[in-house]
Amino acid sequence: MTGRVLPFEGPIHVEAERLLPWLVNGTLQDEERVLVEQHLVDCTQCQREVAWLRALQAQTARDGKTTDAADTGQAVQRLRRQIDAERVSRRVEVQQTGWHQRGQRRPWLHWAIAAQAAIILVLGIALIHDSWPAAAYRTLGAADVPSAQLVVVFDPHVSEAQMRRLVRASDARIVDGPTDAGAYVLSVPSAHAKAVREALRAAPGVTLVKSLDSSRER
Amino acid sequence: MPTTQAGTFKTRRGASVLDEAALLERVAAEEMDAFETLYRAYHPRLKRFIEGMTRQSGWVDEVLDDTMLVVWRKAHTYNHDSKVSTWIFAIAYRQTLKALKRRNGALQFDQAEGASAASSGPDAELQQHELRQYLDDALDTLSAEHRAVIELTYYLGYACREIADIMDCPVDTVKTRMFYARRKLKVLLAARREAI
Repeated sequence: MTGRVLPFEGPIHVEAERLLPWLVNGTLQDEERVLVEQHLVDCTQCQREVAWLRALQAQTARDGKTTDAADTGQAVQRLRRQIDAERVSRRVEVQQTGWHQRGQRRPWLHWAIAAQAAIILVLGIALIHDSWPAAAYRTLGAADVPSAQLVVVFDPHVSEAQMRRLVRASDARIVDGPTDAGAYVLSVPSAHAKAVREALRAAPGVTLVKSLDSSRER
Repeated sequence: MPTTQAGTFKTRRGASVLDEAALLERVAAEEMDAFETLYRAYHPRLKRFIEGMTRQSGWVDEVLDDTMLVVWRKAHTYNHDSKVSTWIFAIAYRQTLKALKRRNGALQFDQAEGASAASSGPDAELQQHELRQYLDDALDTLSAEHRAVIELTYYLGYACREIADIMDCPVDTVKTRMFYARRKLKVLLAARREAI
């Protein structure tokens, strides 16, 4: 007798049973699909499993929450601002590196600049001395305060006056921007860069603040 | 297979109206408009997938943004070995696992058996929304990897081979994860029915 053994609990059943989810979602390749479909003809256990998996798929698909266009639009804008801020910071870094490298290639340039500055300073002092002998006067450029740079994105609806107030309150200067997405680079005294950063982050009308000195920071 | 909610992308599996690979090339060239098109196309599916994996809604947007930022930064590394959607969902999968690790300290590997939420009380009729709630409770007890397989198969309609690519694991591992996820869901749902 050459009776064929039906592989209900054999390796074909095991393999077919594991493939059932992808039979249900319609992605089985031809060879696997044929194997599973042939097995299903005789295996009631797998037939019940397919019915259960179809119900599971229907439930899972039903839960699809719709995302409204406004939600997506806001998300896109949020990401655009972040990418734009990254671009600005990259550009500033490149500029800074460029200056630094140029200085390294031409060390005499430092001396030339220093000499030029010294001459300007002497002439300036002489001029001030002549005109305002007693005045304790400091020009804006004379302050040799170490500074840090922040990339700031303001809310598009913020008023110019409000933006100016925020910049002034931060003791900051705008050194670059605005870009298309409204990103500015602000220069702030290093001594209170951290405090300014936190204050700006908390301020209404500011959507993103990123330090250029720690590009990893979010 | 559910139809996609993604604007101009008519189908997920068949030919798409837009050539996604060409779109990604433009993203690699830092064309913001191309990136925005890609983002809008993938936003609903990615959101659903991340939410399905994490079972959290509070930080889904953050993981989604992280995912798309990686797409933006790494678009030039796409090498056409897989479909663009597989490549993007692989990034989403890794970013979601990272986020889970950051927040939970460890991945939510199988929690204790029978840890499903307490019954809200027997009801004469099993309503659809209750069934959905039971399924949600049961899904909560699965690991993030098991939930990922469920989402990728039943909601996003991926083939087993593609899921293996996304999860960066052998095909057999996908089959095994699905097998255990099914078994566990079945046991938990049966227990809930008996309790009613």
